[in-house]
Amino acid sequence: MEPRQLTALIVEDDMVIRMVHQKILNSVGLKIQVAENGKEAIEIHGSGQSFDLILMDRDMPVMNGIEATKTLRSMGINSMITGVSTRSVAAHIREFMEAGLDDYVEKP
Amino acid sequence: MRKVPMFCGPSVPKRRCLAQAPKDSCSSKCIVPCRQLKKTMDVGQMQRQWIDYTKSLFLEKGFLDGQFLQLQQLQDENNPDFVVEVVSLFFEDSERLLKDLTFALDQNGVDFKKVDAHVHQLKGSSSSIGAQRVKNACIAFRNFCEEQNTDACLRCLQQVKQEYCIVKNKLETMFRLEQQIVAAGGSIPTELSFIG
Repeated sequence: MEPRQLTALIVEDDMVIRMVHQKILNSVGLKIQVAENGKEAIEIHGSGQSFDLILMDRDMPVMNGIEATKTLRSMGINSMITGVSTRSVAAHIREFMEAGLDDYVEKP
Repeated sequence: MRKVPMFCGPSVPKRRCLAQAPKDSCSSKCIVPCRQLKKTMDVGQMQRQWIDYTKSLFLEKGFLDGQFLQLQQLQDENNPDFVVEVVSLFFEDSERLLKDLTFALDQNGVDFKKVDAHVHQLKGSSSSIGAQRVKNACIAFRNFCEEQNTDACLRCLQQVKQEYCIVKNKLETMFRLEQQIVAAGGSIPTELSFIG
């Protein structure tokens, strides 16, 4: 039986960064879907889709990563959510983590 | 990528190979037939030119940083134009953001939150392609957004525009050199070990 391909949702408003993240995750064999903000990510899950990994940007228009993460967790979404941000201040990172992240990575 | 040999074997004087000798006159001794020698030396020169030019972008004025190298490493046979595509997207994105910034700072009551959001985006995308000087100009810009200093923000906008134009020009030149190498049958060097 062939192993199932892992899936990832990239939640990121910037097109350039989205393209780079897509390429990185594609290159390690993940099947990718994208959302341009937190609200789209919620809607995608609301339609019944689920992912092995959610890469969640923090600062986005419409709905930011903190709100989106809290909402996804309240919907019962247990997927691995990794927060991504340029923010390096400990308090900001803690705020994001406390929203329900499994992990946090800093981007350039 | 296809490697292109550069020089004839040591047994054949170069002058003879480069002269208008009939094409088969040294084919039994040359590693590369005479008619290809000039073409392959041109490719070699182009490759050296590309290396020197790319090196200068990193080392001399810091136009690009290590993040650009990371992008190049993501490029492969499945996505041979990945770097050009990402950088082209960066150009489009930046031009839109610079237009929006110009408009936002031209208003009577400047919305500094909006200005900061645009600068934050430009900082993010310039960081992700390694456009270091644009990124640094954006960092300074954001500080003045926080202070709500319109004049300083306008000066920063000029600085960002300048840095963007310069790096755009540099990258377009680099891509043109790459196109010339490929058109001449060569390959783009992958060894960029000068970056620490």
